[in-house]
Amino acid sequence: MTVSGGDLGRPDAHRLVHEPAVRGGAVAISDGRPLLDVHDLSVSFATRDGSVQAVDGVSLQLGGGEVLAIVGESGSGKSVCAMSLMGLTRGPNATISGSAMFAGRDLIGASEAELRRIRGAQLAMIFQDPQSSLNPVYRVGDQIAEQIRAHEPFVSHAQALARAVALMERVGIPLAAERVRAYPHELSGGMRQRVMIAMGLSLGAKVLIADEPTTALDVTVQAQILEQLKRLREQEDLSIVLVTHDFGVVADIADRIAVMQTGKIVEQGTAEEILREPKHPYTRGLLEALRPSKKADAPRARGGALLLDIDNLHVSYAGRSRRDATIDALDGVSLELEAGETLAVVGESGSGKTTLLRCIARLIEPTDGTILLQGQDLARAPRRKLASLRRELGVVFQDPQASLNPRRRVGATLERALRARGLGKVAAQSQVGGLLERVGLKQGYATRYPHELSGGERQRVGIARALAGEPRLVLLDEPVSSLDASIRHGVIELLGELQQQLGCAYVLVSHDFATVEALADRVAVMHVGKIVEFGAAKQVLLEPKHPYTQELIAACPRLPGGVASSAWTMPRSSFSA
Amino acid sequence: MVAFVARRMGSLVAVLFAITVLTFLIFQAIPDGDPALRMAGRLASPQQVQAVRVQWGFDKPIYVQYAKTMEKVLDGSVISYSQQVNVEQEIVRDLPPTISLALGAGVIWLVFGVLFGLLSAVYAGRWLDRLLSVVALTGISMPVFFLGAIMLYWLGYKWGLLPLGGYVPLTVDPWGWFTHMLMPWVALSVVSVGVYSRVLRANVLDVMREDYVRTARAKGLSERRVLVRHVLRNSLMGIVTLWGLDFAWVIGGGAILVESVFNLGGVGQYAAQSIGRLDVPPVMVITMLVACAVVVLSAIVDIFYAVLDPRVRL
Repeated sequence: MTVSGGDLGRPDAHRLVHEPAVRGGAVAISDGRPLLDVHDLSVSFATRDGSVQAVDGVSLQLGGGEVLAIVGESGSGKSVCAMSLMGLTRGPNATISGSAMFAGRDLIGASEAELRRIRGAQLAMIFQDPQSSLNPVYRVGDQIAEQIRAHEPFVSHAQALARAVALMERVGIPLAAERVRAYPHELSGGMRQRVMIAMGLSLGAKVLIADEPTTALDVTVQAQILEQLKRLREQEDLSIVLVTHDFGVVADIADRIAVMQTGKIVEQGTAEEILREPKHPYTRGLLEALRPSKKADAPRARGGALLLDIDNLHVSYAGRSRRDATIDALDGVSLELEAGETLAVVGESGSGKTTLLRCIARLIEPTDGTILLQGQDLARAPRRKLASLRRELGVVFQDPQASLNPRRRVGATLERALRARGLGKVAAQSQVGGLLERVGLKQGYATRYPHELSGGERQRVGIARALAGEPRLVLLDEPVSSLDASIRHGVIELLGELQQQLGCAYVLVSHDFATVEALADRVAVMHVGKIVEFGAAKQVLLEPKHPYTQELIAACPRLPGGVASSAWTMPRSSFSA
Repeated sequence: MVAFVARRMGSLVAVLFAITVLTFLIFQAIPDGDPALRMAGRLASPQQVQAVRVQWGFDKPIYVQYAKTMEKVLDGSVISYSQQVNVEQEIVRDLPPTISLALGAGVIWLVFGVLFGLLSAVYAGRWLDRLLSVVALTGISMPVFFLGAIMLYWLGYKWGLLPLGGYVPLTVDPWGWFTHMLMPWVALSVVSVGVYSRVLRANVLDVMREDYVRTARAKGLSERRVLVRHVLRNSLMGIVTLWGLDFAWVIGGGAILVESVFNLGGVGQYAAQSIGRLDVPPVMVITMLVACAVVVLSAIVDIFYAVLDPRVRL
């Protein structure tokens, strides 16, 4: 059977290519050529500080019905690589060389007009954040219809909308006939990403490029979206280029994996080869970083004294009108935490875990209930006493880039935190160095600005700031989720060490089970404002009782058992980042 | 959407009431503003002043005075102190030139502001962008009375292309109306074209970096469609707000300078003359008119905003 390149443009062309893709083997080939053949792709951008080589001589092949994963950390060039295939990196500052043969044409050398006909019609792309990727001012149906009509100008708007409904049903959107009239903000994150997929498939695209398609989504939603992609691959022979930083996602779905580092592909092979026997040290490091470190059972100075006692905490917001019911962000939450312990609060977005944290810091006024910190009620404390009570608290925020003042040197930031504790200027300055060393940074870092630090170093500064007041309780709000996998490990270890040295207690909010497993003594699982399960970490993670906890843990993408070496003793502990 | 409009209208009434109270109080507090003294004339005896005071109700408590004033404002019987003529009839007579000025200039500055701003953004950093930014800054820094005088001298006096000021009603002579309004329109819009084009340029450049613009390109839309449907529409939000406020300001007689330079005889010119005579009633009524115009147009802008951006309707 021969299939010429041009035939691939026909909507039914994939039916001609009926031999099954060779899973886990070599590139699936239809007529001696892969569907997408990228050769020696390089992309560099001219910046004020000279030229930056984002992609450096990348060669890739994608067969029909195959899933190729491009894995790398932020800055590895994986997204630029994917976007260059769509021609989305073109611009006066970009230099792009190499070739990418698709359907008989070179995507790199193609003119804008040629590229426009391919984009969306044969080659589609979905992005990381479906919320910002959809235009907020148009109904989702109209956005899908717009794409159909851009390529098939003789289709009426009504016909295009009817096709949009069918597409939305195909990607698993219930009540598609109603949802087609919804605005993006009226849909959930998972539904929005499904709309993006529907849009991508609206003209029978052969290849879907998915750039971190589940990173912005909750873990149970992530599992659903990955399931949907798998189904499309199996039922419709869709080829997928999956760009991700997450090996857990990859293990679930990829046939082949290419690992990228600083613009180059350092290792490429079948999913099994890469996950079982990674050859390149960088790949090994990435996989190593995913392995959960077990909570050290070292003896600790545990007084057993009750530090934090939250009882029947309520936070509710009134609806806009009398018709609207009040919204309970927290609905009768009760928790206990002993001195020197770590309590992890897990749950999906909207579960109320961040609200709980804000209540403890009294950034939100609780509607009802008590928060006793060493016997003092934070929930009822008068405003003027708050400052002294807050001194017992340290907070580490999710995004260190956003939570450090960019115009202040690291030393000045820490000095301010120390002086807030009541130290004089000289005393505070003398302690900055010690504080930096405590979090594993050199004293010289005091004169640097936040933008001169890496993400991991910035978060260490964030931790140092939280510790400046020698707090009894530190609130950790997703402390590593904005960091790359390979540096998460170090920060988590640091948090563990500091707890042993200083004896402070942590309240950790996280959606990442690897972090939770590494740090937590107790785990509370939250769902729509309530705690559905609360107990010792091991018990909750290994023998979850509540169905929601079971669902949550099952949804975590994980590496196949036995892939990595000895540390994977418990099959349950293979939660990925 | 209906609920949104109803909510917006409810708050509108409350704001209008607050505005009339505030305006009334401000004019009560003007120094040397005893209305009875001013109305009775310079040579009046104390008895005559007292008579005027009683006749006009200036001796009553302040809330009674407010009620009386508002009654007069609403049934259109406010009388000016100095000339004893009906203020509202004067304003109604002066409104056509002012509305003509606001509408024409508003269209000009919106169209050219958006056009120049869009061109600047699309060609950002290139020579056209630089040229337009120089033009915009020149326009912004050009005083209206200077520009007006120059235009009157050359276009009106030297070359005789356009009439030298004055106003001809549209209903009487449409062409005459147009030629009389052309210079005032241009003089008034020059500053706004500059401001609007700068604001729009910044907005467009911001929106171009949005993820959904990237999506629009990935869909295979033409560059023109991406620009108009996805970039321009989302960039217009700030401009709409600005336009509503500026338009209301002109309607309420804000273009005092332009109206005076071209002797249009509009509301602004009337306000200027009344201020000169410390004639409180016309100034107060015009102030209320400006405030109401601003509030009503903001409400219209908000509703239009909700049409542009569905998220606002929440």
